Amino acid sequence: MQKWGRSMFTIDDRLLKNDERAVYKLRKLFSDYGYLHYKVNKFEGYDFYAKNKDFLKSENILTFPDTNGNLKALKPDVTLSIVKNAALDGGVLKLFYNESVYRPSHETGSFREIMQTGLECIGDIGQYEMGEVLMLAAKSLLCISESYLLDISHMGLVSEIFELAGVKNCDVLLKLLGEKNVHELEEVCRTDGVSEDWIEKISSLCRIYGRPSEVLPKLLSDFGDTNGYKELSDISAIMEKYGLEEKIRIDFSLVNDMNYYNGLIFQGFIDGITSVFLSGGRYDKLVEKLKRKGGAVGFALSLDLLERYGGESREKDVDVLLLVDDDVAAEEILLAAEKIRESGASVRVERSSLSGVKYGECKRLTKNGICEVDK
Amino acid sequence: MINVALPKGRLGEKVYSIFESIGYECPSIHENNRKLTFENEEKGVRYFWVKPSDVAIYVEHGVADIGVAGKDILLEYTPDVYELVDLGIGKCRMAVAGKKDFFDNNDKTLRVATKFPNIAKAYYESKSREIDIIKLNGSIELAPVLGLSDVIVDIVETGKTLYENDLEPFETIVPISARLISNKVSYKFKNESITELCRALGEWLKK
Repeated sequence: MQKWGRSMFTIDDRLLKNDERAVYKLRKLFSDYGYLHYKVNKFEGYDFYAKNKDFLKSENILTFPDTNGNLKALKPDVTLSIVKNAALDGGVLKLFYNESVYRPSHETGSFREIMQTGLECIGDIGQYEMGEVLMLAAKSLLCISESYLLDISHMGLVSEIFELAGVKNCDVLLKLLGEKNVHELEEVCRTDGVSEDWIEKISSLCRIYGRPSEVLPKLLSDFGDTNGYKELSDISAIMEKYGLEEKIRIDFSLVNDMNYYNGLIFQGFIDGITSVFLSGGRYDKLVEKLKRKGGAVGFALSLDLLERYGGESREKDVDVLLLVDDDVAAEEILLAAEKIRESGASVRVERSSLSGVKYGECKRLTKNGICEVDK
Repeated sequence: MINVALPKGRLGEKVYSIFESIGYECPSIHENNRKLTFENEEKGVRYFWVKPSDVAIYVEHGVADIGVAGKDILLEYTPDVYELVDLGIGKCRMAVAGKKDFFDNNDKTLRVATKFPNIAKAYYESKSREIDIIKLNGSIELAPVLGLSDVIVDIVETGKTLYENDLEPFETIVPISARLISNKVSYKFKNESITELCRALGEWLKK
């Protein structure tokens, strides 16, 4: 029999589910860059979320009254709690988390528990920190697949362009930009009295999708050397140094609430996962709103989307089903089952055949020994 | 390969003929058989017919990379997709209609029968009008005639059915036409093919 010891419990990668494997890899990645694991409370006071509803993906929050009558909420988001509790005394706070959040599903409208892993960098954010976070976003996607894309946009640049063009209906235009809906965007601009020259430029902004080296020259010629352009161009240069130019795309259909996000925003996609897998950005305005100092940048990954990724499916529940006769002694059963397990197969011991469990092969243990049983 | 969800019916057939004319033909689609998907490997395109109101669902879930859906469906279900081209076909409007002699009594909650509860709700919310929505699945025109509702919110093409039943459209909520939509992730990983198709559709629209 195998000698008992901790070595019996080495991790077998094949046993892990996609999301469990991803959590392990991401934890290693973030720790390698000095980010600290952060544990957040499961509940928060409801009023905290009510005050910052716009920051959340959905207005629906799962609430319950606490024993003292206060209304509590199961957290729909982790970033808000981290920023609120960030005790920063100069420097930069680098954290990562792996938490459950509770949000309504877009399709069914009912609440779901979603596993989310993310990273936040709060404090004195400079170009290096921005580059590091974006590079870590790319590496997080690489943990899942080599076939990934990281799209970037800049809320500051979009708001500068809207201001230059004299746009009034910013919220409506932002929504249409998010849909790449050029035909309706042009109509709204015309109603707003935007000049034809600017309409053409904003429409082309809506159509843009490409590598920074293809897109940046066009942005410069259309909108000039604005602050947003400079930041986008600087971050693209850093990404090129990291060798990520091929994986980065500029796309202004990435939009987020201007009241919270002020600079670079980004989203990550994996070929084979049909919705946004990673999303993040610079959210200095939230930090300011929660009366904290400095800026912040971070991202989160929706690991629940990995459930259906890669076509992995379990073909059987157990390798061997060992059926034992009633007159076989317990220690004989134990020894026989352990012997099969030593070969690396999983074994389930039963007295009679059972339905609902899929097994690879079936063996019968009698007083005279083990024999094969036809399925 | 681009997967295209087409709406079953006249609109879908018209859309396919446009796709055919701009170089995305798939002759097997004309064969009289029970096949559900039609593929032209050389042109890199695969079509399938689905219920018009399901097109957006297929596209949003990425089973179809692109599809053609009416603006009414997009407004009602707000799928998270790109709306790339207004094809300018299947034109009609979403309107409020009722009996010819209908008088909107502001003292009472307005009873609205419709297949599009979200559109109706958003419209009356923007006017701060309190309403009761009666969700129906067909023969909407019957509701005001039999007194089930005060008005209806429905698609109006020529208005012929309305007039024949002594009803008339009062207000237009929004003009409707067929739109080319795309799954957001497909747009990124199949960008060249989808952009090329949009460009070809743009050329066709200019004709």
